[in-house]
Amino acid sequence: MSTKPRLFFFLFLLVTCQAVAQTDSVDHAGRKIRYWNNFLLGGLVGDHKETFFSFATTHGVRLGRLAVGLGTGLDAYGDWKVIPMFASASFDFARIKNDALFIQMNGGYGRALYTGEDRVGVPSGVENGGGKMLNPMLGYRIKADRFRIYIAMGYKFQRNKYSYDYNNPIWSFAPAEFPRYTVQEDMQRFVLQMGFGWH
Amino acid sequence: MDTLENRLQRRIHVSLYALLFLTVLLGISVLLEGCSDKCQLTTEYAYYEPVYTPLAELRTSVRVEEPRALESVGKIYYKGETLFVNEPGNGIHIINNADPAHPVAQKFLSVPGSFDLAVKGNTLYTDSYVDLVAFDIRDLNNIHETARLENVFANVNSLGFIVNASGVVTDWAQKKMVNLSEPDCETVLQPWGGVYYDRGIALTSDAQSNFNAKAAITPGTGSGPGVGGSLNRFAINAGHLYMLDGPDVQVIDVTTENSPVAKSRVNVAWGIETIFPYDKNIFVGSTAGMHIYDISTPEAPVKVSTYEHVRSCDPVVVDGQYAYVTLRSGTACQGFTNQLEVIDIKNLASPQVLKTYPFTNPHGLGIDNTTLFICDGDDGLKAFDASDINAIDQHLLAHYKDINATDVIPFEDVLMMIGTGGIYQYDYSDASKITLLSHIEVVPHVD
Repeated sequence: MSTKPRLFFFLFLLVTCQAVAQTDSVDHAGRKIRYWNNFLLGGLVGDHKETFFSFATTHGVRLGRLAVGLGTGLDAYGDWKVIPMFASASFDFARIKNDALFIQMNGGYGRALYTGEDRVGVPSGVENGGGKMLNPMLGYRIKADRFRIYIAMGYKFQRNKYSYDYNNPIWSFAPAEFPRYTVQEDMQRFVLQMGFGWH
Repeated sequence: MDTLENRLQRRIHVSLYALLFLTVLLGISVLLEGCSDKCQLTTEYAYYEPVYTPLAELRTSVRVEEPRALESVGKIYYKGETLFVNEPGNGIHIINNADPAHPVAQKFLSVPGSFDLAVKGNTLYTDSYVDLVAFDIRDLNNIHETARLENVFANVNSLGFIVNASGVVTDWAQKKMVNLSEPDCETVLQPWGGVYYDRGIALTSDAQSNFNAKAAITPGTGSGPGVGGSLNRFAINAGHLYMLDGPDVQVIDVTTENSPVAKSRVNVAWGIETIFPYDKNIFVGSTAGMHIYDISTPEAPVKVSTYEHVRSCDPVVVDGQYAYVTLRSGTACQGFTNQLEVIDIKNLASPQVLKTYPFTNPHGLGIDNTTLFICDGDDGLKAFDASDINAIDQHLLAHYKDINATDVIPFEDVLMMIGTGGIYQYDYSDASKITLLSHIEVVPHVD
C-alpha cells in the first residue's frame, strides 16, 4: 500500500473511532480526568507565497485547565508532505463561561515525503526526509452542545533533512564519484487552524 | 437558565473573540512575511588528485620477475622463437613460442611506463615513460639493463598529465570533500551541474588507447630486428629505431645494439599512431592519413608523400606495391568510417587508393604473401585471400566471430593475434583451414 492510501486509512480510522468514543472520565484527587480530542484543518503561510493545507488531530486527557495528548496529521510544504507525530500540552489560561482561551505547545518529529516531480540528474530519486517539529499555538475553544469548536493559530517549525545523489554524467578519464547532497531545510510557517473536538 | 438572551450574548462573545483572533492573525502574518525558510546544504564528493612518482624512483624499479598472469594486452613483438607481449604501463611478458601450440611464459620484465617495444639482435628496447631503455636478453635468466636514454621522449603523458620534473602521475589519490553552504531553499534541489573535481581532471585519450599495431613483416631471426604488430609505435629499419613521440618521429641509432644513440627528431604531424617499416621507407599511419618517409639516410628521414583520408584511426601495413590501411571510428579515433583501403604505392610520391572495403570496426592487420588478416574488433578475426586486390571481400578464408581481435603478427604460417581475451595463435599453413593452436587468457587484475 502506498503512503497516501495508508495515511487516509489511518485518518479515517481515527475519525471512525472518534464517532463511537465515549467521554470517559475518572476521578483524580477529586477532579475528573477526561478524554479529549480535536480535529483541526487549516493552512500554512510562510516562505512560499501560496498557502498550503495543514491537518492535525490530537487525542489525550484533560485534568482541569491542563490537557496533554498525542497527535498526528498532515502538513504540506510545497513538494513535501509531512506527517508529524507529536506530543501536545495545553493550558486554559482564561475561561469565559464555557469557552476558553488556551495556549498549546506541540513538539515531535515529522516524516517528510517528497511528492514533487522527478529531477534531472537524480535518477534514484530524492530520499524521504524529516526532522523535529515545534508548534506553539494560541487558541480559543468554544462550547457548542456536546462539541467544542476550536480556532487556533501559531507558529510551526518543521525541520526537513533529506539527501539525494546527483548523478550527472561526466566525460572524464578520471575516476568518478558522484556527489551526494544532504539538505537541512528549516521551514517556518504561520499556521491557522479551525476544527472541532470533544472535551 | 439558558435563555435566548444568554445564547445571544454567547454568540456575540464568540464573534468578538473570532474577530480578535483574525486581527491578531493578520498582524502575525504581516510579521511573518519577512520570515523565510533556512537551508543548509552539505555536499559530499570525492575528487582525485594525481600522485606523482619521481622519475629517479621509477628508473630504479625495473626488475625481472617470474612469469605471471597476463592482466592486459598491449603491443606484441616476435623475434626468433620468443613472443614479447606488452602489458600496458607495467612491462613485458616474455614467452617461449618455439611451439605455438604450447607457448611457455618465461619471465616478466617489469618496466614502469612501458607501452611499446622492439627487438634487434639480442637487445630489447622499450619505453619507460620519458626514457628509452635497452635490455640484454641474450640469456633470459640474466636479463639486464644495458642502456638508458633519459628524457628522450618529449610528449609522454601518464593518466592525462605530461611527465615533467615533478615526475610521473602513476595513481590517483582519492580525497573526500565536504562543503557546507547556506543557499536559497528554492535552489537546493536544482543543482546546476555535477562537475565537482576540485583540481580538475580532464584526461586526454592517449592514456587509454594503448592498442595500436599491425604486422610489420621484417626478418624475425638473427641479428636483425623482429616482427612487430601493425599498431606498434616502434619500428626498426636500417639499423635505426624509429619511435613515434607526439607529432614527431624520433630516430635512434641502434647499430651498436647495447649503445643506442639519439640522433634526430623529425616532425611529421599530430595524430600519428603507427609506424611500419618497409624496404627503405617508413609508413606512418595517422588519424588524417598515411605519411611515407624515405630513410635512405636513416638518420634523416625525408618525406616522400602523404596520402590523406577521412579522420579515423589508421594502422597500415605494406606488402610489395600495395599498402593496406584500415580506418575505424571510435572515441579516440573520431570519424565515422570503418573500412579497408588498398593503396597503390608503386609511385611512392603519389599513392593512389585502388579499392575500399567496408568493415565493422577494423583495427590491426597483417599480410603474409597473399593472406590478409583483418582484426575487425568485436566482429572477430577475418582472413582473406588478397591475390586479387579488386575482390578481396569475395575471398573470405575464415571468420572467427566470437572473439575480440585487435592486432596480429602473421609469421611463418603462425598467426599471433591479440584481443581483449588474450593471445590467440593460429596455424594458417593451409589457408583454407585455419586452426587455433593456443590461447593465453587475460586475467584482469583485482585489487
